Amino acid sequence: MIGPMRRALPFALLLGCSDPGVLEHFLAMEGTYRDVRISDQPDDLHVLRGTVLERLNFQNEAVDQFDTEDPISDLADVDERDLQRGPRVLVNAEDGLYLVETTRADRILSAEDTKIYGARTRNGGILTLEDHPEDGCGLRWYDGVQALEAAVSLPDDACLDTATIHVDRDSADAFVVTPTRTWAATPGYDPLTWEGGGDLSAFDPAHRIVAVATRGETETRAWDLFGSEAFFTDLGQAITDLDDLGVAGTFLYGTSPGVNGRLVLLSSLDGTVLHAEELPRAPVRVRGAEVGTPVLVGLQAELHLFEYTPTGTP
Amino acid sequence: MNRVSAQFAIGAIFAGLTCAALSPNNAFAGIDPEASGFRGAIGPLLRSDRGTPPGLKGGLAIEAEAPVVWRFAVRMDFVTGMASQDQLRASGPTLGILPTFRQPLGKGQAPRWALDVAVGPTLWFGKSTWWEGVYPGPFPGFRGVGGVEYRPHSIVAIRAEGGTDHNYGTLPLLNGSAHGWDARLLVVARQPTNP
Repeated sequence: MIGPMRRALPFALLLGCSDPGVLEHFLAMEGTYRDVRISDQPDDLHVLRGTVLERLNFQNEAVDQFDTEDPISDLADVDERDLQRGPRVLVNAEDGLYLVETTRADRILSAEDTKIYGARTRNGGILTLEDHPEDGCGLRWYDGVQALEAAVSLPDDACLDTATIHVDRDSADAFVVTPTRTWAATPGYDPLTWEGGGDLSAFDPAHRIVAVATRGETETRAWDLFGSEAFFTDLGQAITDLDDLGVAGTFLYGTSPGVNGRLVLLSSLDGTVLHAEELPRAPVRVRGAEVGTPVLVGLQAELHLFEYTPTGTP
Repeated sequence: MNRVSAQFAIGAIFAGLTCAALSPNNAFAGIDPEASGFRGAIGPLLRSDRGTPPGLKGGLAIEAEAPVVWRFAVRMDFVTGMASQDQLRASGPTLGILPTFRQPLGKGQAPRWALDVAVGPTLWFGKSTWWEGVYPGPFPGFRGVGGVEYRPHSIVAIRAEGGTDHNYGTLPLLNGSAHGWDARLLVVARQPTNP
């Protein structure tokens, strides 16, 4: 441990790390996966293996298992706020947007001639980025029974295949991020847009800031809903993945400084490094829980979980 | 019965056989000079554990054995630097105490070949290369082995051994355990027991 710590320290000091939190490894699980999310109630994981969507507990046992039998592009979002209904996973598939509940899947929006990307929003609602042949590209907010609440038109270049969307679950404000441009939208208002984007992005709900990065590059930047830059940071290492840590107000970066890897935690307010954890490999996935802990790191065929305690927490 | 329970049951059977044989009224009482004597062994090993990518790691094995009764003995097994090849990269020595049964092959006072099997508990004093603070060990487990011995000399012998080891650390280790197999080639120094 001394070696990795010694290597991490100058890096942290270089980037102005002044208030490091405590990150403690507590679990390692074996398995291959295509995508993974931490549950809102952070005692299990949603893992995509091929066409099978599994909910795993921390003993690597499948609590629920559902085979979609169709190609899934990714796990769009996880919503477990309605405890009576249990966990529900929003899934982007080729033919539409699915809501998977335990052992059943409902196609809630068809994508026969439409590209759809979805995210969960307030009161069980859904935000989608849709590219219609006639209506063009736009954001649409649906309520809990999939009735259209609001819509905002966007230029066609917002509906690229590489676009990602993020939504504030409380206000329903949304971001659309493409590799070169970012849009911020509020229901009922004209969207704002500015130059800058990336194929990786994450939304921090604590400070309502979106961070972007490009896989393989070293720089990251972030903006608020009005397009004001929150920070610009050069991590000095190729970025492999990006996510947020929910209420902790922290962005998570997987980086590849060379042979090994790093997990870097940045403050979403000013981009200062809160913690840099040495890893034996470059992380393929980093994921944060909405409640601020744990942090998940995917290393090839293993999943590792860390408990994060911000400095100052009693 | 799951796999772990079955493996511990096998260990318990061996321990029970050893205890039964120690009884003075037991038909097995007395040491079989063809099979047992004090002995020490040392030699290299190659060990494989799960990992991505999989691979082999080397180490050094040291064994010491004391006769108990008939063809039973107790073996102390020490391995330097047993390492898991998962990303925890836990590494450290292993110590085991293995009840052993040895069966000479052939007739006469000094058969040249012998087979042995042993199963017993181990402790792995492993520490993660990356997160040693939360993985202090030792991790309990067990080892099961089979070996074949060639005795070209009254004192010196050569022994080949293949074994599997399983250690458990509940959740900290990958899926709560580390397990692998190893192959050893040992030089054995035997206490002469034949008249």
